[in-house]
Amino acid sequence: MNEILQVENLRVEYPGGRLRQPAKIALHGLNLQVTQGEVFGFLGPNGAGKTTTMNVLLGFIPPTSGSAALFGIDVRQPIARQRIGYLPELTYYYKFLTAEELLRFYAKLFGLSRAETDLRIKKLMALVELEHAASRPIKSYSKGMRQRVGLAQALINNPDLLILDEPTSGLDPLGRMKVREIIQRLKDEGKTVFFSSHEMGEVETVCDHVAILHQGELKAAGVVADLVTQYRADNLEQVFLKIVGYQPQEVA
Amino acid sequence: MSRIWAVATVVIKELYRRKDFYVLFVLTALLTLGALSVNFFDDPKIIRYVKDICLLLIWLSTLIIAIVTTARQIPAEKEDRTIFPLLAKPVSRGQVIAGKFLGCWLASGLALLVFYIFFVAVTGLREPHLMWGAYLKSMFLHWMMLAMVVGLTLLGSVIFTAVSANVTICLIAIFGILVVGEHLAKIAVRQAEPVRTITYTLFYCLPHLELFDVRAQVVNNQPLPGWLDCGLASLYAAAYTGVLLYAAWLLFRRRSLST
Amino acid sequence: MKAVSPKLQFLFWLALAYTLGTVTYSRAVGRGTVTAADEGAFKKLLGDGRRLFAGQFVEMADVYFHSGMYPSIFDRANQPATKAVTAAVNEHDAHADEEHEHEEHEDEHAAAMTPVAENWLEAFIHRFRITKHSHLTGGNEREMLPWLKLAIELDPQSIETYTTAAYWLRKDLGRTAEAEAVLREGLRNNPTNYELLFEMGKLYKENKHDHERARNLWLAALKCWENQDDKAREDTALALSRIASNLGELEEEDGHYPQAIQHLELAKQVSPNPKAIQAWIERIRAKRGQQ
Repeated sequence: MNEILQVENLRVEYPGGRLRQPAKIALHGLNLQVTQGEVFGFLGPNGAGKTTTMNVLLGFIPPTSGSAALFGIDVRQPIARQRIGYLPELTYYYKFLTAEELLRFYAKLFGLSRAETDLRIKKLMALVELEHAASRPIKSYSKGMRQRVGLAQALINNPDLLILDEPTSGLDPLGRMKVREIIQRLKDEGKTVFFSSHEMGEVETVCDHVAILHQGELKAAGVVADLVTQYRADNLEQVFLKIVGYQPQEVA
Repeated sequence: MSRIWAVATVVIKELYRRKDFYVLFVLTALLTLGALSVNFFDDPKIIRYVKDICLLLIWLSTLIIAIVTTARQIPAEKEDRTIFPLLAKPVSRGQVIAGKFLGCWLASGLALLVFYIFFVAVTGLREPHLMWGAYLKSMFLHWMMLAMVVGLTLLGSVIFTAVSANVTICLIAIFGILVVGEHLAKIAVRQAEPVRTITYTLFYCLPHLELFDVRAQVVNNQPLPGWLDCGLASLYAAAYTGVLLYAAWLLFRRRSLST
Repeated sequence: MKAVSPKLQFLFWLALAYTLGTVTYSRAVGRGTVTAADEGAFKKLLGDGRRLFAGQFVEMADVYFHSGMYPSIFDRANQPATKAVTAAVNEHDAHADEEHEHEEHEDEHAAAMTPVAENWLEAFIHRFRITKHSHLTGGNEREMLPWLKLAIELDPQSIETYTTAAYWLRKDLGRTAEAEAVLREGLRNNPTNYELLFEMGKLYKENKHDHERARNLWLAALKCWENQDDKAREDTALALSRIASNLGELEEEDGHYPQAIQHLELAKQVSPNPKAIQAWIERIRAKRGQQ
C-alpha cells in the first residue's frame, strides 16, 4: 500500500495562557494513514481535533510530539506541500486580485511554467464555471463564486492529494452537488482526497474510508460499511452519535 | 527565488491598486504647487523653499507609504485569512518574509521614483541647470533608508497583531531616530550613569536612518557624498535590514497559525 | 475613495483647501484686495504659536544663508546663538577700522558652525552632511526671502526680520523698491521703532542717495530712541551709537562739519570704541580747520 498521508503518535498541546492554566491537549497521540486513491472522510464533533490535525498537516502549527508526513516528507518541510491542494473552510483571497491573477500567483508558488499555468487556468475556470468572471476582482464575487475560486486554486497544481476543510459548508444544494461531482472525478482520476465534514450523508456517499475523532483521540477508523456493521447501526450518522456518546432526550 | 518574487509581485499590485499612494501623491503635488504659486517679492528665480517643501513631503509620503504598506502585510494576511492558502503552498515562511520585504521595498521604490520625477519637473521650472547626479544619489540613498524602514516595520508586523499598533510604534520609532538619532552621542555625554551607557548603546545599535537624508545638499545645490560613501551607506543599510529580517524570520518561523 | 482611510481623505481635502487658499490669497495680494481684517483672521487662527513658527522661519533663512550647513542645538550648546543672517545687517554698519575684527569674528563664526565628530560613527555621518562653511552670494541671497517674508507675516512685531529682509533685498539683490515696501510695512505695524527708521534711512542714503530724507529719518530714529524709558535706553545704547555715527558720516559727506562733530560726540558717549570715534572727530576738525 502506498501511504500518502501518515500521522504517528501526533500530540498537540496549546499553551495554557498567562494565569498558569494547564495546557490544553488538542490531540492525544493520533495515528492515521491515508493511502493513494482513497477518499478519506475525517469526522468528529466541534473541538474534536480535526482542524488541529489539518493545521499540523499543512504546517500551520508545529506538533508538540509525534510526526506527520505527506508523501513520506515531514510536513515541516515546505516541499511536502508540493503535491497537495488545500481548500480552507472559509475562503478568503486577495480581494484586489482577479481570479486569474490569483491562480497565476499560486501557480508561480508551485513553480509551474507559463504554458502549463495558462492551460490549467483555462481548464479550472471551465471546471468551476467562472470563465465569464476570470478577469473581475475577487471582491466583486458572491460567496458561492469565492468558494469555487477556492476550489480552483486548490487544484491549480493538479495535486495528488487534496485536503478539503468542510468543503460544502455554506454552499447551496447545487454547489454541494458540484463539489461532490468534482471529488468523484478526482477519485476516478486516482487522486487522493482527505476531507473533514459534518455532513454524514455526504461522507457516506463519497468516502471509501472514514476516521472519527473525539476529544483529540481517534475513536474509530475504517471502511464506512464495516463501521456501520461493527457498531450495529443503520448508517454512518448513528455510528458517529454512538461514538460521541449522544443520548437522545424525550421532548416533554 | 521565483517564489519570493511571486509574493513580492502581489505586494506591488496591492500598492498600486489601493488608493493611498495616489492620495499622497496628489497631496504632495497640491502642496508643492501651492507653495510654488506664492509670489515672494516678484522674484521668479526663488526655488529652494519649493524644493525644500517638496522633498520634505516626499520624505513624509514615502515613509507613510512604506510603513503603512509593510505594517499591514502579516496582520492583514492573518485577519483576512489569506495566510492559510498561501502557507499551504510549497513556500517556506522565510520565503514569505523575504517576498513581503522585497515587495514592500520595491513598491516604496516605485512610489519614490514617481515622486522624484515630479520633484525634478518642479525644480526644472525655475532652475536652469538640473543636478541629475545629485538627484540620483539622493533617491538611491533614500531608497536604501526605506529598506531599513521596511525591515523594521516587517519585524513589527510579525510582533504586533494590530496594524494600527504597529504603524504607530514604527512611526514614533522612525521619526525619533530621524530627529535625535545622530545626536545621541552628544546627549549621552551630558547624562549621568547608567543613562549615559544606555544612550551610548542606543547610539551605536539603532539604525541611523538620518544618515541617508541628504535633502540639505539637494536643496542648497551642494555636493553630495561620493559613490564610495554611498556604497558604504548601502552596506550599512543592508546589514541592518538583514538583521531585522532575520529577527522577523526567527519569530515567524515557529509561530502557530490556527485556522 | 472607498479604499482610502478617512485620515488620508481629510489630509487630501486639507491640502486642496491649502492650495486653493494660497493661490487665491496670492492673487488677492497682487490685486490689493486683501484687507488687514482678512490677515487678522489667519493670525488669530494660529494664536501665539505664530511667534514660534516665525522664529523657526528666521532659523530656516539662516540655514539657507549658510547653504544648508547648520549645526544642531546639541552642537551649538556652548556657542552664542547669534544668527549670521541677521548679524550681517549689524556687522555691515561696523566702521572701516573694525574690518580686521570683523574678519576674525567671521573665522570664529565658521569654526563654531563646523560640527565636531567625537567618534567614528559621527565622523561617518558627517560625511553625509554639509561641512563646508559658506554664505550665499551672487544673487542667491534671494532664496532666504520666502522664509523671512513668512516670518514677517506671522510675527509683525519682530523688527529684526524686517530689517534683515530689507537689508538683503537692497544690498545684494538691488531690489530697493521691495526693500522699502518691507520697511514701510514694518513701520505701519511698529510706527515708533527707531531701528526701522534707521534702516529706512540707510536705504535712502545708500541706495537712493537721498541725503535729505536719510537725515530726516535718522533724526526721527534718534527721537524715537530718546523717547524710550531709561532702562530701554541703557539696553540699546549701541543703537544710539550706530544712528549717531551714521548721522555724523552723512553730515561729514555733506560738509556740515559742526553737525557731524555734534553727532559723533553723542556716538562717542556710548560707543564700545570711543578712541576710534575721537580719531574720526579729530579728522573732521582738521578738515574744518583747512576750510
